[in-house]
Amino acid sequence: MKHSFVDRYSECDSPVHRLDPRAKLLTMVGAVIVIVLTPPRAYGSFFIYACTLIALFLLARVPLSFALKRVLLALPFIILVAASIPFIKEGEVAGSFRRGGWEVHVTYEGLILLWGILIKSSLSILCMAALSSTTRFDRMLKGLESLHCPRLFLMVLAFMYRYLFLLSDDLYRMLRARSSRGGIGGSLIFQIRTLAGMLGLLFIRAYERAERVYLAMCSRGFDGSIPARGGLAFRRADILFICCMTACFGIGRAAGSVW
Amino acid sequence: MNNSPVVQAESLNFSYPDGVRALENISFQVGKGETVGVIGPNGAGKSTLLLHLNGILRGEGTVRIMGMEVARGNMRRIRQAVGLVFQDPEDQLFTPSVYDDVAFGPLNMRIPLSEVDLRVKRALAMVGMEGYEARSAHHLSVGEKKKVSLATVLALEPEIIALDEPTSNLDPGSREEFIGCLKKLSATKIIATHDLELVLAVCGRVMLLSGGRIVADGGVRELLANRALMEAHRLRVPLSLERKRH
Repeated sequence: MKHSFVDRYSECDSPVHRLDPRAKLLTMVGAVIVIVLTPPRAYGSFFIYACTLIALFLLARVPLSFALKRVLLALPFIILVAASIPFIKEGEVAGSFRRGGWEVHVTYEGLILLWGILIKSSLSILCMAALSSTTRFDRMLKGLESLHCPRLFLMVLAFMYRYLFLLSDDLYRMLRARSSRGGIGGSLIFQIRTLAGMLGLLFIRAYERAERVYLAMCSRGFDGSIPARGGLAFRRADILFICCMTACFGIGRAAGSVW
Repeated sequence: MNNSPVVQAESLNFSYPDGVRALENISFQVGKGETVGVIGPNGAGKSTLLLHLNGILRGEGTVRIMGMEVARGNMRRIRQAVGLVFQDPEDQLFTPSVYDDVAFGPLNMRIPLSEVDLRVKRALAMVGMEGYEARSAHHLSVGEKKKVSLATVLALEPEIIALDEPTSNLDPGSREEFIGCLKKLSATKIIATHDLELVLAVCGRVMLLSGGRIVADGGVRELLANRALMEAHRLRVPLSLERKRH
């Protein structure tokens, strides 16, 4: 089965794709921190951050629409959490309306805070999309490894990346088998019982798969310790990239106090 | 054929924890460079037998690989000597890239990184999968996955390769390619399969396993053409042998 992979475009080739994963990891995590620490009213800063990220996507030849879709995907969750802020935050009232016995106020401070949360989270997601769509997952793990991320944790990530799609395939096959035998019918309780059975089966299949994978690992000499790999080298382009990104985000941060 | 056996099994018995007796009094020898097919009905114990060759399962009785007894102390050497290719390549390929999968075995054997690189290249070249290092397994076709699975084992440079159903789920073209790969390998091969044409194409000897026992052991053509024996164990005489007789 084909999937729309979370890291589509990561196997393409461009100057950004060729960069050392560590350079991209560090700058993008740094960028997120700078974005989060920018005050919501620094409109100029956000403009420059956005321009920098768009330039990065263009340079990497990753379609902007793909990046924007990532943002749109996450936005509902953020709105769900943040939507109440303009009504709760105290401050200068921008407007109020009455429904029945309820009176609701919207404050300027609340609106500004909401804007801050939306723009910061959107830009942060863009940063992560830039990272994941220009870095192959195995290179990313290698980068994390040489940044001294615990190997056990990386192995868990690697397995998740490999088997998430297989598990979802399993689930889709089961759903399809259910549909072809009459689909969604019967009482609600019957449906819930079927679904619970399928989830249980999925768990058992995953468990059995895990056992077979472990046997396959043992067959190739796995003894519990995870050997180091290495094989990354910082080049001039990586240093140049870090310097450029630092400069762009630095200028952006400074621009906030001017505009 | 050299007369020093590389695999020796003596009165091997094994029962699964649920009490199912999977192997009963199995004894056999495989000489260096031999290609042996292990055939038999579903549940005959073929996969269980393969899992005994590198000590993943250990029943009563002894298994010796190149003269070394399969025991806890020499597991690393045993697993380097016996490469096991699992039936489902999704179980065998578990890392994010083909390179990492092929390098996994050699890295576990604590082989220096530069040598690991060479071995990965060589193993992929042997199965005709050069240039796939950066690909991830879920982007490969089943045929490609099977070939990479074989490469993950070849990177260990094993003396004995044990394959479980190597041609299952393959289209005829991929199957032919895979058989081509197998024929090029000089290592001793033990192949558990239902694909009797595969046995005819690559094996010099065949063992018929049924109900956990070795029922017959001999030359491929005589054994596979024995209709009474084959049908008694839920197998059929391969078509290519039938045709020649008519």
